[in-house]
Amino acid sequence: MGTSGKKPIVPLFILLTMILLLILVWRLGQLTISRDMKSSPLTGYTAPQIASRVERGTIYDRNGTILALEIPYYTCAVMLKSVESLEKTAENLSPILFMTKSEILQKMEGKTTYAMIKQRVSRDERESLQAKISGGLLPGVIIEKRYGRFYPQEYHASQLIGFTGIDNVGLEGLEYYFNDILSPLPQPNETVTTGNDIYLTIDMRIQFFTDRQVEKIAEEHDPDSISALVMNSDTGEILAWTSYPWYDINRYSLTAPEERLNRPAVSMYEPGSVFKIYSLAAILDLEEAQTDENFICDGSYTFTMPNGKQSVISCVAAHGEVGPREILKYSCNGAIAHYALQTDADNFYRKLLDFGFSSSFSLPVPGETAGFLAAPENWSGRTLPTIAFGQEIGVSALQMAAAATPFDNGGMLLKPSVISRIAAPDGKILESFRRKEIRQVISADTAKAVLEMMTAATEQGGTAVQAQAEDVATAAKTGTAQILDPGTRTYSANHVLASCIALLPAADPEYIIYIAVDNPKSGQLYGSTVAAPAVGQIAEDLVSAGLAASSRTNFLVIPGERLNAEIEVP
Amino acid sequence: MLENQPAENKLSTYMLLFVLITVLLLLLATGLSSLYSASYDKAMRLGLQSNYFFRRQFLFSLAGIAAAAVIYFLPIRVIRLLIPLLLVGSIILMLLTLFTSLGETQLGARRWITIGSIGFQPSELVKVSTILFLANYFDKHRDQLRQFSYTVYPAAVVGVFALMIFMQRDFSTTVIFLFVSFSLFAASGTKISYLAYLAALVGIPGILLLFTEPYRVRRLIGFLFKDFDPSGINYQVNASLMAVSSGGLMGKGWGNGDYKYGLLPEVQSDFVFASFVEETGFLGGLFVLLLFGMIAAVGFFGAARLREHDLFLYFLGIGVTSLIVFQAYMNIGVVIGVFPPTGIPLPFFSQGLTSLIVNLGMGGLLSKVLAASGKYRNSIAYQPLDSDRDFQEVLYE
Repeated sequence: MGTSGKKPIVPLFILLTMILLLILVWRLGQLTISRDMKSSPLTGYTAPQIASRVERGTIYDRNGTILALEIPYYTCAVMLKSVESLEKTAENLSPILFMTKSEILQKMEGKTTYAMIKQRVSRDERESLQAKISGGLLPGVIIEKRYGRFYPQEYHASQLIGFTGIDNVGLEGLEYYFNDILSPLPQPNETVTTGNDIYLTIDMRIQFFTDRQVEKIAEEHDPDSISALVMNSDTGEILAWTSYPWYDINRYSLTAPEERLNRPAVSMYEPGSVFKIYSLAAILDLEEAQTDENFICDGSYTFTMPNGKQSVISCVAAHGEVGPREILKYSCNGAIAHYALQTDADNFYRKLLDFGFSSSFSLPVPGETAGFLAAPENWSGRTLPTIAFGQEIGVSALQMAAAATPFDNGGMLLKPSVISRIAAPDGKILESFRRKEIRQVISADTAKAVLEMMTAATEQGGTAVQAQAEDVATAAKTGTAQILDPGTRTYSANHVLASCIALLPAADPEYIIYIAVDNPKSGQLYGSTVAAPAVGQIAEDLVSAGLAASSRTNFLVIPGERLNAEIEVP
Repeated sequence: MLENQPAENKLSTYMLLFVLITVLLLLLATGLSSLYSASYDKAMRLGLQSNYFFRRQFLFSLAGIAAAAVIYFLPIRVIRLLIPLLLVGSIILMLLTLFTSLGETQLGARRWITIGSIGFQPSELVKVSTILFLANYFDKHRDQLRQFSYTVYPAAVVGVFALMIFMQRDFSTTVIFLFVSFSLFAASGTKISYLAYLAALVGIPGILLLFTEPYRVRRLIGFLFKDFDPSGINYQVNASLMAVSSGGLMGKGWGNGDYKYGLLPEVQSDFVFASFVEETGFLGGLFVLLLFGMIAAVGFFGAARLREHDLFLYFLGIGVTSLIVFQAYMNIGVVIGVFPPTGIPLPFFSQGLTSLIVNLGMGGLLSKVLAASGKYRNSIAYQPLDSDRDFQEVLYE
């Protein structure tokens, strides 16, 4: 043996292990037996006293109108172990709670300790319960104070706001998305933790105007569904957000899934001719088509596809000589198809992507769709002209409304927003809306030109003449999209989507209004008769409420203009 | 010297081995059942079958036992021949983990190679290969170790491996690895001054590297100042302490713990001991601590008997024993707040297939050491001859 390994090092190892073992056993004993978490120098940890309740923050509209509020409510429950006879308890409770005896017995069935009999008892019910309980007449029956949501605006913007469940946790909409902001974790050193308040960009006045018109459409035309949006065209803030059929949020448990569907963001559909404003803007901006040469519309347009076959696109009527302005005025399919075919498919596709189609805006709205737009390599010979008049592309109402922002912002696409600001309980603003430019889509000249052309549609003889308001000039476009029948896989003859978009005032827009009506069943199918009147009426209401400047300047003196006039005099 | 003294009877020859195997099986059984209790809720939360973690761990423990048996019956000669192969394999696997797309990052650490649905953790293999390598090297060069160059070579090998483990962002395994390697150097009989050099060489950059990652610094601050960020960096340890503390003397009962229901992160792996003590109390925790203590006792005792007879097995016994026991104590120390939080699994308890197989394989190696030591069960008698003098010399050099 050499020198190696001769040192008796092993006792050292055993000693070390023993010391370690003793420390660990001592510490384990200290933790488990004496439960001494504080005295040890190794863990001077004191469990903090945390709040016993979290008060959920309030949701307001942009002006401070309450949309969702936390309120206390009372429930009636039974502690079954202290009940002598279930039958007798049910019999006693029945007249107080306005429930039948069998209903109450059903609630207690299969439970062993606790049975919830009625959520949210009314004040009268609570008082008579309280009297009987105090008199010892209802053994085992208890009244519990709980906290839950109240939604004073009931069905207005219901799908956007969403709701909380029985345990006051957000289940849908913004209540779901912002659950942790509205209802943060209980904080140490306070008894009640208050959540943050959220102010939406929604303006309840405009929401009312919109919902009134949506309701009117629903009554007159009996559609499957309606999406409506009003947007501030200068900032991208959404002022009204409607999905019909709607529901009273306070009674969410009685709703059907189609009532809770948040259509403006979630539903995807083929937009129809409204889309021509975007395809025309793309064509004009690309400058590849010879748009200065007018197109002669004889009611149908025949073109040769790359595979050599002839294909026909038909119009509602023979529009005669049609230029870009007339495309929007008469909604001529042939002309837009003709110009689209002179445009490079890849460039056209990229322009549409720039408008925000085929991507989502990442709004705090659960389930926002990106829509659908196939890549050019998957297009058929008919796809390019078809997309130009708004078929073969899937969009959301949100995308359709937001894509109109470039017309009012020198060609710049704005990010739509539903959140105006988030405020801490002490009023400190944690986050507030900032106008966000996404990208330059078209040139300022193109934007201005298309906006001007849109006013043609509201002129006499235009398709969107009913979107014109008496007091304010609007720039508008209507559309009547054919909807694909999933059964036959062809476009249905009488299932259409009637829609209308408007920017107003036409001279310098402040608002974008978009309404899409799915499957009107009144016999009237067109966007010009189903959707456009509602758009015109909302525009009228905005002026009446003083929210939009009237175009009738003859009886108004606008200080700025007068000043300009004075300067120009010499 | 009573070399190759015939055994009086089989029982006393294999006494230590018998104790070791009993302890290992007890640990494995306790570990598996505690893993099932701690992990079923987590498995269901992940959308898996409730026994997902348990089933995999159980199947791999059977594989591990088979591996241990194979190792036990392999001749030592063969094992020693396999060492270079193991070393090269370890290096290749470590490089693959670090630099190819085979390596997988979990919770910020790049420690795994994924083969099918099974993540393999090469650093576990490195620990055993290095112990085998050092034992073999120190045995072969037992007479030259007092020359500096013969200490530098194995130290360099250890250093390279340590660096690779460190690059996988596995600070705690690096520390354990260096600690066990250092123990072997200490046992090897090299000069104290060399040991001091090595300690300085590793220790100073080690402490500097400790501060290269913000999370390590936060963990250290969290450990030193308990009120710092109680819901953040200290949350896990606080939850763990509360779980342990709620166990009391007898525990809440097998399977009755509350902290596994999402309150204690990583309850199925590094913090399984907290859930175990919550359910079995001080007595359960003591039982496990003592079982690991028994491994230390039989392992070190058995190794000591071989010091005069078979240096390879002597070093191997020391290395394997200290690796298993110090890993276990380090993990338990973290769980009960004696050490700052690090990611060391508890052998035979924590969910982790590589760790389980390697630990059982090490059980096989240790069994081999103890079986050999049975032949020399009288030689532990202390012999105060020149060996003692050597040690004194070394100490006061």
